[in-house]
This record gives sequence, C-alpha cells and structure tokens, in this order.
Amino acid sequence: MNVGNIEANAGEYRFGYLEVAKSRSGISPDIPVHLFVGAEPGPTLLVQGAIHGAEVIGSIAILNFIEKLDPKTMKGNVIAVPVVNRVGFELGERGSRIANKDISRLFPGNPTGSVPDQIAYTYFNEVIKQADVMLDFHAGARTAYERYVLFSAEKDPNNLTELEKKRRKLVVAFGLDQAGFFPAGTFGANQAKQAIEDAGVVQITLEFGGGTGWFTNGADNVRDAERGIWNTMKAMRMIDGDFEADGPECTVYNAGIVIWKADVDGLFIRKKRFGEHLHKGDVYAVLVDPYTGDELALMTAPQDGIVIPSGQEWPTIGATSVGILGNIDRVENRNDTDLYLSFD
Amino acid sequence: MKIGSIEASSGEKAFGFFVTGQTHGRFPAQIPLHIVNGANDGPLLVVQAGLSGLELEPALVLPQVVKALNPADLSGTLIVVPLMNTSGFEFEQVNAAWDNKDLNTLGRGRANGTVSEQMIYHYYQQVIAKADALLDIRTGAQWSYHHYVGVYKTGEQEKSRQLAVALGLDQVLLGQPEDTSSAFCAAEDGKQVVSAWLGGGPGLRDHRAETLSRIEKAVLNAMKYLGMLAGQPEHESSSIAVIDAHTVLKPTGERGFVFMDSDKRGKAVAAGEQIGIVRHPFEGKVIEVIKAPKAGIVLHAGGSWPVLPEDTTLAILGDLVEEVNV
Repeated sequence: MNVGNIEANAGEYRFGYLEVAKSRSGISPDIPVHLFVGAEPGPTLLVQGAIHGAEVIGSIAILNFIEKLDPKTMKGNVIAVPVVNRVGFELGERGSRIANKDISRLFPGNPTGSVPDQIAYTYFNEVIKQADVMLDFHAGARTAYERYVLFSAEKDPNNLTELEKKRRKLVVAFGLDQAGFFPAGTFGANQAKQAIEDAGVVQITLEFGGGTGWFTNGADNVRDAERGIWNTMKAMRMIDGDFEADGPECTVYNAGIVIWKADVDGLFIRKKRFGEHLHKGDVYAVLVDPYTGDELALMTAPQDGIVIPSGQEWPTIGATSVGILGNIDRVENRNDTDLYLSFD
Repeated sequence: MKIGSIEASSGEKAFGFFVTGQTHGRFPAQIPLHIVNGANDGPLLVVQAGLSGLELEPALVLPQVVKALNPADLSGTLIVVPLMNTSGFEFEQVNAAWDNKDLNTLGRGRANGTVSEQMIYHYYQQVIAKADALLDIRTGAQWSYHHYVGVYKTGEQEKSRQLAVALGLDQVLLGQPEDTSSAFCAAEDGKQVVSAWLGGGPGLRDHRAETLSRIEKAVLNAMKYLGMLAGQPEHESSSIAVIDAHTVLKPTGERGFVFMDSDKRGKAVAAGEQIGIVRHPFEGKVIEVIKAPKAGIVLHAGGSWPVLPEDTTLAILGDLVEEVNV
C-alpha cells in the first residue's frame, strides 16, 4: 500500500511526509503520515488530528496509539495523521493562514486552485479516498470544551443507506456516552463532508476536550480518544478484543438548537453546563462589561433543549455559537447493539 | 482623589477611563479605572490586572469586588484597573494592538515614546507613584495555570513579603524573577509590591469559581492587612510555604508537545528528577526529558496546555525557607 511516496508492505510500518503544494514563500506544509499495513488484508482506517491547527487532543491520542500498534498483529491498514494542518498547528490557529482557508471545508479539493485547495485535493485523493472509515478528531482548541461524537444528519432515518447503517454502529462503538447530529439546514453540514460520504468513506467527527479543561482532565480525554481508536479497529474486525466505553449507553442528540452570541460584546460567562435542561427563554450565559461588571446581555435558549457537551468557556468570543442544545433522538445500548462493521 | 478626569471625593466611588493619548487612527489610549475613596484616611492600594490582553479572569471579578465595597467602611483609597490592555483584549492578543508593545515590559514608561509607553508613563506618574502598595494580578492566559504570590527581591522586600503572606494563598515565592515591568519598578521605588498569579485558561472550565474567589480574597485580604478594611485576612490553609526561588524553567531544547507533570506541583523534587517531557508532534517519540536541575519545591505555577508559546515558564522551583502558621 502506498500513500503518496510512503509505501509499506504486509506487516510493515512506515512514516513519512505526504508532499503537498508549496506556498508562495516556499513553505512546504507536507503532511506527516504513519502507515501500518497489516499482516492480513482487511479494511482501511484513517485517523486524523488537527485539521484545525489548534485542536490537538486527538493528535496526542494518535501519537499514543501508534506507539502501541503492531502491523504484524492486525488486519487491514491504518493511516494515522496526527496533524493535517501544519501551518495552523504552528500558529495555534484553526485554519491555514496560507490563503486564509479552512482545509476541512475544501474537500474534494482542486488541483488548480489556491494552495489550500491543492493540499485538500492531494490529501483527499491520496489519503481519504483510500479509507473505509475515517475518524476526524476535533476539540475546543484553547477556548472551549467538548466531548461527543458528531455525525452528519441522515437523509431518511427510516430508510438508511448502507453507509449510514455502518456509521450508526461506529458512533456507538467508539465508546463515548454522548453523540449528536445537526439536522439538515441547521449547522455544520458542508460540501466537504458530502464529498467524503460520496467517496464511500464512513466518517465521524470526534469533538474531544479543549484547553479550558486541560489542567483537570486533559490526560483523561487523551486516554479516551485513544480508546475510541482501538474500539474502532475492533468494530472493523482489524483486531480482536472487548469494547471499552464510558458506559453501556450512548445518548444521541438531535442537536440543532444553536445559541448564538448576543448582538453586543463583552466578557462571556457561561451559566449552564452539559446535561442541564433549559426551557425556551432560560438564561444560558451572560455578557458583562469588562470594566464595570455591568450586565450587557443575556443569551437565552431559543427553544427547550438539553445542553450538549459542547461550548465556549473562554471569556471572549467571536461571532460564533456559544452553546448547542439538543433533544434526545435515541439512546443506544451497547449491550444490545451489533457494533461490527462489515466491509466484504 | 483625581486620576485624569476620574474623580472621587472622600467617601465616594468613581469609574472612568484614564485617557493618556490617541493613536494615529485617533482611537483613545486609555485605562479603565475605578477609584474607591474611603471616608477615612489611610494608605493607597493599587490593584492592576490585564496588562496582557489574554489575562481575563480578574476582569470577571474585580468590578464586582468594587461594587461590593462601601467607601464609608474604608480607610484610605483603592484604585482598581481590572483590564488595562484594552486593545489587546479587543484583538485577543497579549500585546497592545496599537504598537505591539507588551505592557508588562515598559517599566515607568516614556513621556515621548510609543502610544503604550506614553500610557504607562502617565499611569506610573499619576497612579503607581502615589501608591503605598501595588497588587499586580497575573494569570496564565490561555496556556498556563497558577496559584501563588510572587515577591521581587528589591526595595522593601520584607514589607512586600508580609503583604504576600497576608493574601491568603498557600505559596509565597521570594525572588520573583527581575523584569522590566511597572510592578518591578514600583518595588524598586520602595512600594509594597506583590504579584498574585491566579488562574489561567487550561483550568478555566473546572477551576473558574476557585480562581475568582482567590482573586477576590487577595484584594480584600490586602485591604485588611493594610488596615483599609476591618477584619483579619482569611487564608486557604493554616500554613503558608515561603519559597526562595532558585530555578525558573523555560523551553531551552526541543520544541513540540510539552507535557509538564502537574502532579508534582506543590511537592519536593530531587535534582535530576523528571518533571516533564517534550514529544515530537508528528512522530510521537520523546525528544527531550525535562528534569529539575536542582532539588526544590515545585510551585503551583507553569505551563499546562501542550502547545506553548516561546518563553513560557514551564515550572518554578525553590527552597522552602519558612512555613508561616496563620
């Protein structure tokens, strides 16, 4: 198997850099790729971190994971990319300052477009399209805190596609007790995710941790992110073993209720935390004057809903969502669910 | 008491912006400032915070502390600057946006310098120079997490040390590294100066309440200690460790993911003992082991988030010189 110029045979591990387009000053943000080819054939798992450059919890989990992975004792292939967006990682930023684009939104890319478009094109064709399953690790960067599996809304929940059936299993198998999707027309859907789905790749996003919780539970989140990668390999029958999870249940939220920043700006103070149920009009957060402490605005729930484990903690915010509410769509019990994905 | 156009008579409070100049785009260079002028005579305490535009926790609580104070109960005057670096705050950066100056490096300022240097000059002349004591509140911005009090080894060290002990935190650091800040200059000029390092982004989600409580208590304890408010300082515990700093660790070798061992904070470590590691960000291997160069107590201080800016303090070590029972 090869990823660009990186090649490994059965039972081998190789590390290298996938060559991508150079910037105008000559920066080559070539993408680090760990390639594991199992002793026996099987499906291909892609795990990637830091496509948003400041979201590094998954990156650390991937590094821990590859330290332990032995290609001789697994089936199939693993492509592990700890940091996709090297420029954003270097500068501690979400996107790439080269052309100010977010690579995660550019798939399938464009071979004659801007440098980020070209990078997206190379990565999509050399890496993503080779995968059967893709774990895309995100986080709250330095300013928020999150912990749930995010997946695309199903087109018709009563008539699932084969890919959607596999994705449902994967969501539960990963091992977190919370998951969510944004209904069509609300939030998060984009052309890039559709391109990945059109390529036949079962993709989930892991919103995992964030800097504001790092001192207390950074290590726990890294551990559980790694656990999810191992669980995914088990679900894909690449390795044997029991699943480990937060608990027997995974609550899936229909999470389309976004609380947006108020019209005024100031210091943001979150008042509600994950799991709290808000009625329409209940206060989620306040904005205060940074110098006098006077209350400037209240941010309230636009509808009834439960705070899903996602939200801003840092006191300054941009023109962005500050919290997401959802309602329980279903509760999956791992003990009653077939967690194995078939790729025959 | 009058600072610029902000004026509070005896027994009054006032808030306003101390305007020190204008930028070339004609934005005001200004410092938000509260004056609480006590009904009775007493010392002048300045509480300043937010000289970095990313040190924000003090601004969440200092205005509330001012609101709760009754000038009639106060002896002396309290000046509070909850968030000095308004342009850094606006544009979410450490330095002032107008001239890219780090306000913590400008000493006594310069009357004919850049916009920020002029601002610090007027602030130093009109505020700090008149003060008896300065409580400089710092945080770890988005990268570090702290709770200790630092004292410079210059000027009225013993008086500053006593004020530091009174703030109520468990650790007092003697020998806070010399720098070019206004606070250091104030210490050189004989003011009682303490730097309360409290909070930081990596602990914000889980430690917000205790950080804000520590900031509030530090201000009130300082006022009680200085005789500005009735009552005795309240301490976190019955014993305060006074530590003489001998080592400030900063990144010197490899760069990558930095993991400092937070379990060793507050504990004694031996010379050569591992207190952190640096990992290659793409390959994962450990490329540097960070060791204590000398035995000592590790302060509740230092880098936490694994991707750290250059020149971030990773850890501070020192010798325990006294345990003060309070």
